[in-house]
Amino acid sequence: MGSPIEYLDGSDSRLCSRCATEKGVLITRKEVFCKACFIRFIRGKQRKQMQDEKYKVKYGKAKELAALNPTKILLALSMGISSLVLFDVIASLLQEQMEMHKGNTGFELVVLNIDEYELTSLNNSIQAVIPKLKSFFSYVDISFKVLNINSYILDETLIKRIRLYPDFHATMTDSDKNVSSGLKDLLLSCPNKSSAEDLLTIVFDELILRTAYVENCSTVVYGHNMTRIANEIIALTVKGRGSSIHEKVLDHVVHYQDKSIQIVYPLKDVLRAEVEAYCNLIGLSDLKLESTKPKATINRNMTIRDLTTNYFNQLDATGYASTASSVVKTGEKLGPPKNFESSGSQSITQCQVCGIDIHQNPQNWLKRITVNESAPLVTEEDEEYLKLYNESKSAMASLGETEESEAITNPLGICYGCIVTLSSIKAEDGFLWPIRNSAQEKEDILNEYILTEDEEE
Amino acid sequence: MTAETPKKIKVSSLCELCHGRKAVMKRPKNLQKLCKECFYVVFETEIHNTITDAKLFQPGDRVAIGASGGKDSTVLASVLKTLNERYNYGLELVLLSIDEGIKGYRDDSLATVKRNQKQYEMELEIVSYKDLYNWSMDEIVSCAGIRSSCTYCGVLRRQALDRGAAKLNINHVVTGHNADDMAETVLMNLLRGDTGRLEKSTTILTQSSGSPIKRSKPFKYTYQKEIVLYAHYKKLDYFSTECTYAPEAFRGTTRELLKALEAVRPSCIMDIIYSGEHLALAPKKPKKHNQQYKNKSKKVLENQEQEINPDGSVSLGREKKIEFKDGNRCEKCGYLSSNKICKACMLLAGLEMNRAKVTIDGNTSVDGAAKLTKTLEQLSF
Ligand SMILES: [Zn+2]
Ligand SMILES: [Zn+2]
Ligand SMILES: [Zn+2]
Ligand SMILES: [Zn+2]
Repeated sequence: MGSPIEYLDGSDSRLCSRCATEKGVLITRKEVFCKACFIRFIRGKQRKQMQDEKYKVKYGKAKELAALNPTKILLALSMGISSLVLFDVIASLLQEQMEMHKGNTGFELVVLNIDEYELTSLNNSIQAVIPKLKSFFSYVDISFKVLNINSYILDETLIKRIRLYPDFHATMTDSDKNVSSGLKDLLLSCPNKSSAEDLLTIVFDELILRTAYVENCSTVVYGHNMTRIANEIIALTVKGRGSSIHEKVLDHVVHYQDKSIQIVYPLKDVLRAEVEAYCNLIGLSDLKLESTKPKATINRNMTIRDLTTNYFNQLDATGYASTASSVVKTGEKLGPPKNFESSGSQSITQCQVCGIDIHQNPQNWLKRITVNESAPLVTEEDEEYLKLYNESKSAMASLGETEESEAITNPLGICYGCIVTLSSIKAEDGFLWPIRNSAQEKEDILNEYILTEDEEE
Repeated sequence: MTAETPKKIKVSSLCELCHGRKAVMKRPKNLQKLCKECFYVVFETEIHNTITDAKLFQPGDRVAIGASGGKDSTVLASVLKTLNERYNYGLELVLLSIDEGIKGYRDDSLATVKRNQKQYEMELEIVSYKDLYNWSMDEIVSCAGIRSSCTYCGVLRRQALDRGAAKLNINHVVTGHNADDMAETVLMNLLRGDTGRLEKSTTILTQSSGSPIKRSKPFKYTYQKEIVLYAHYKKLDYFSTECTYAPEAFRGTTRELLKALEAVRPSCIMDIIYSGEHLALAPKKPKKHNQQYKNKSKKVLENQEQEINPDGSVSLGREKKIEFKDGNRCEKCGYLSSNKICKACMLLAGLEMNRAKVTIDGNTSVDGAAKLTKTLEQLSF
């Protein structure tokens, strides 16, 4: 596969173009870099993205204020190479600050890992890696949090049976069964791999924000490199979630409960190949965790994101590597949808599954272009068949309906993307999933927080 | 199963909509199993909904169907005729064909259009590149190379359709662009970073400011595969060979991605269009402008292509910092243009230069093609 980076072997005598003294180790963006200058170059990208005063070491009055309410940054550490590199980049910033400011830093770092060991069959558990991480970053003081994916379910009463009907309206039913199954089990009953992937993204985003909220972090940093962000932008578009690009994968501010949380992608100008190079040069590659599940090799078995990932890989290999950069630049120019503000009859509501704003009623949109009318029956034979069908249907219905006839069914507000994700579930079975309820959530989050406090070492 | 009732249909094999006839197909859009009759109903009704929701037509309109003889435009002509009669649109439908001058491809497809004309009893107008521009597509390709043939053809066809419509005294051209084309355009505009076109990716009705000719896409939400199925079941007479000049490579990669995605999730074409309808540029952060700049950008806005929204309102395109002279007509041919010379004339001028060179020195043709490609890139702002 083609790579935008050219590595120089020992026999190459070209000097680094930055310091002009050291021997070059690689060429990227048409420039020869030595190891130290390349690392500084990548770190510089992050420094540029996070120049705000609040990340700097404070003095005087600002210092007194900061002592009461210190800036805290949450790093979402997936243990993939991009987030590991970001970890190193931010840790090095803390180290620099300590060296220059007599041991003081401008912010505190909280590192969050959402444990995927079971879910994606990782090659190693996070618990086994944390000591290694701690010794690697021993020069800075960092607090580690590991969250179980099941903690997405704040309250089991929020788990509802979701049903989607042919006219695209959705309902939720209180599940009278005792649901003790974890999120992994709920995900297992997902209609397909792409849907599970989509729901998991919702879970991760929410858990990260929730942790930032309870940990008092005003900033969340993601390690996404340029290619990854471009990939997410295209994947969101493909999943019918284009309206949320501006508030999902680019720098933005999220209003979560009663707080504003800033989301920053410090490596958004760094190419994936450059992240790989950094990771290798600094010796972090051995720590990365990856899934041991075999990767799908046939298109048909792939998820939406697998397909878009492959697409960007191919573009890199065929000389269209600049595509990722144009996608990210375009994404940065996007804002909230415009064309629907004027239609006052319908105000913006939130999806009860993923929480995003709904700007255009997805049910009506779908209904107009996915008609379910039938052509009139003509022959007697046709009518006979219809009779047969109705008989068999009523027999089926009486079997299934008794069970939940007493459960209360409510309409479910659902966005286009979630309709797509849940569209292949069978209406008879429905799909069990925790519904959003922001009023209840805050209460639950606080309870959850107190619990984890107790459990902490 | 028994010998007495050999034709007995199992209940599970019945059409999922009427439950009275045997399902003969899986609907590409949502994999619903349908009988032929119900497929016709949903296919036609969805197009009717698209037309009425966007208020595309007024009674008494004369509408030109851009007819290539291919499946999209052949089905468009057939469906529009059907809907016009069923719902009393009160339209006068005319076929408008472009003869690009591509041997072996266009000759046969034009013959198809002529048969359609008789079958649908519609007027037919044929406009040829050769007559309009004094260049046939074959001549252009032999001169400029095959690489950018689609870009040339796109620019020239757009103008040719407008001119043909003007000749017929018609101000509305409908084209067979389908949902797949629409989704592909959304992805292409994102991948190329074409912010100027991004918000318009999914617009169903477009009109250049000052131009009397509207263009619309009644197949905006219609799947290409369903168009093929409709043509097949209705036994429509169309020409199925693809244009001999293949699309440019990058568009090809996007098309492949879309195909792979559709195989995994059939709704993705609709999903991308839904996304596309929500893509909007954030308001630009206010910058300090001087008075001179303000005046200039106002002028630019006036000459931008305007979009007509489904509700009839007009939204202006975004500001672009383009330098151009007063007046919005091409100095050479009088066609509407935001530049002094319109795109088509620019291309043709390049070709003329190149043709002259080729006749003097056969070796410069490659160089010339590259130069023209450059001109093209500069043109597509
Ligand atoms: Zn150096
Ligand atoms: Zn949703
Ligand atoms: Zn039917
Ligand atoms: Zn001109």
